[in-house]
Amino acid sequence: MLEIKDLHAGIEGKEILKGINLSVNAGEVHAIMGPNGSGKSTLSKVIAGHPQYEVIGGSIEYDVNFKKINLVGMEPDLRAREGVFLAFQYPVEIPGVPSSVFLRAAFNAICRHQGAEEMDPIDFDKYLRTKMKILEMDDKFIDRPVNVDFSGGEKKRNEILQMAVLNPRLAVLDETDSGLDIDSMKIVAEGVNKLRSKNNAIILITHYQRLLNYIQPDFVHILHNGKIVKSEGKELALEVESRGYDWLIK
Amino acid sequence: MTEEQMPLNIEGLEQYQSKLANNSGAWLKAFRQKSFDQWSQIDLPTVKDEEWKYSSLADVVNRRFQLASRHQLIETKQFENYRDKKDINIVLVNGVLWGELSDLKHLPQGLTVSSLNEKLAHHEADIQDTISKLTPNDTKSFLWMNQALFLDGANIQVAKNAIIEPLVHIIHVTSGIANDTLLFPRSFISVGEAAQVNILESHICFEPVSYLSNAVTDMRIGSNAIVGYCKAQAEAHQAIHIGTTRIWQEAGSTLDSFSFNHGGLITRNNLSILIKGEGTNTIMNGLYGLDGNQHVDNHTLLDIQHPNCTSYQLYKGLLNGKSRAIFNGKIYVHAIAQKTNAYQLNKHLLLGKEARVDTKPQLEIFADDVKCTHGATIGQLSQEEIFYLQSRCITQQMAIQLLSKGFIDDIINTIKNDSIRGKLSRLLLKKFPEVKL
Repeated sequence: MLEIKDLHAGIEGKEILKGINLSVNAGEVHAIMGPNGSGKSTLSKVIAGHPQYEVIGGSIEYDVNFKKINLVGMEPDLRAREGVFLAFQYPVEIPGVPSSVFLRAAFNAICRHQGAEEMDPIDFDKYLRTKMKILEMDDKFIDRPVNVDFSGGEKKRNEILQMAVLNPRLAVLDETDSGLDIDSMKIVAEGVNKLRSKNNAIILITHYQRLLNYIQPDFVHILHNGKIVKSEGKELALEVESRGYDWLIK
Repeated sequence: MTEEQMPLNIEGLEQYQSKLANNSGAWLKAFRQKSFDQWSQIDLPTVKDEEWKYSSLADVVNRRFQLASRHQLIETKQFENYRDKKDINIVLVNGVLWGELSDLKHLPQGLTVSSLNEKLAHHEADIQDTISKLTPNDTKSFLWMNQALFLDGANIQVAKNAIIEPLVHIIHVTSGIANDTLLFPRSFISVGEAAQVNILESHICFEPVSYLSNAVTDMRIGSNAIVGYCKAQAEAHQAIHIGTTRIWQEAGSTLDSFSFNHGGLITRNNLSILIKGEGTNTIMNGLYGLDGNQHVDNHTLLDIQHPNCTSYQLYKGLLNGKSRAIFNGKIYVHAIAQKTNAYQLNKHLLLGKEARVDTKPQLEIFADDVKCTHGATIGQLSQEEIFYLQSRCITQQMAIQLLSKGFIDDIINTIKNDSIRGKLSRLLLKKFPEVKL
């Protein structure tokens, strides 16, 4: 589904990703771990197409209708409509825009893109509420402006709700566990697990092993200094937990 | 009076004035003459005047203006689309009250509407008294010009204790004029003790003409009355609108006002509210949605002369293209006005790279036991916000729409009257398809 080849990217002329190679198939969950500043968040933003990040070399190939297309250079909204989703480490507040309006606009953009009929507000409201139940979110959330006055935990939960509503084929979860207490993390992890299927893939970017107790990855990759230095099964995360990163990067 | 001393170059002024004088009673004739004399003695403001620092009228001086002679509405279809049959519509065409288009019959009990010219021509002590008491402000040259040359106006009286349910919509429509015409819309509104009313005053034009509309509205709000008042400026693109709104608020009264600026090339609004009694509540909100080379200058003055009064002011501006906005919010708290609680905020969203804002709060406080706060912000859409929306399938263009709509929604929603809010939203939609969803 996703084939990242020798990806070099950076911000403001500074190279942060220095040759990433990563292959992700449908149905898989990949965890990307690494110390601070290793390039984890940069990787997630480059996949989603943040305009501030510049791809210097390499490609991000992504399957669309059984064909590989290169995401590099594609508008972020088009990537999203093709099923790429980024759960933000720091979700942005959108004052004045109610969550329901925002989510319906997003959802219907995908419908239009797929040539399907758009959903009217009443049907969408029902659909949204079924997804909110999964994440145990309060009804009043619907009318509140997106992320405004949300606690850190609510914002993260809202990211996963958006994922549930938009049903992406490739979801990149950037430090979704940070700022969550244990109960919220369980709810969020359960939500993510419910969204796992053989048709979609998830990349979990995380600093700690904690989240991986609840969302079991098929592969764990260690990112250091802009390169993947080790890839193994889920037991690698436990090893990192007990030994730290030093043994991997020295 | 010779031409050289005229502050403005106006064609056929003398004939116009003698015609006016023939149609006026003694009081009105003297009132016009006195105003004319005062006007003749002062020049038009220039950017050297502190109050006009950012708004140049240099272009006006070089033009030769005409006075409106016909008062016929041409664009009846567009007009019908603008007004709402559920409202009480009071229509003035080029400054003259137009009975056929107005709902002057079957008015709710307690509401009377008449021609201001007729009322002032005869002896109407109440109105004359109020108008004389209202002090001129810094658009005085325009105020006096209006008083010297206004043809007619809407005179609206709400009786003591009357509660007027439907919206009273005063529509000043400019129609069928030549370029460079001078117009003098005028209204006088008097709301009796403990009465309640919602008023919208629109300034509209459906033709691509240039003109200068010098509008004056005077309002007296009796004690314990509750008034909603909105001014909607939707003039033609090339128009200049200079508005003077003078409001007199008596004890215990509530004024919920809104200033909406939409059309026109150059707009100057002077809103002055005199607090003439204890325990009043004043809301002064406003919204300007500008594009192209539009220029809107809002000067507001709240003059608090009594204790225990509260005020809330929020003006928001959405600026596209090379448009420009000026805000000057003066709140004057007299020494006697203890326990005043005044809040002021002015926020802008700049969509155009060359848009510009000059904002100045001006609090002059002479009482020691008061609570006054103010603030101003000027911002652009952040890349993070746009990226966040884009990452949720929303195009960049639509992201800008959503964020702009988000910016103005809260101020539009402060308008409690549905009919007013609906009309303003429709106007905004036409101009900023960005805010459509």
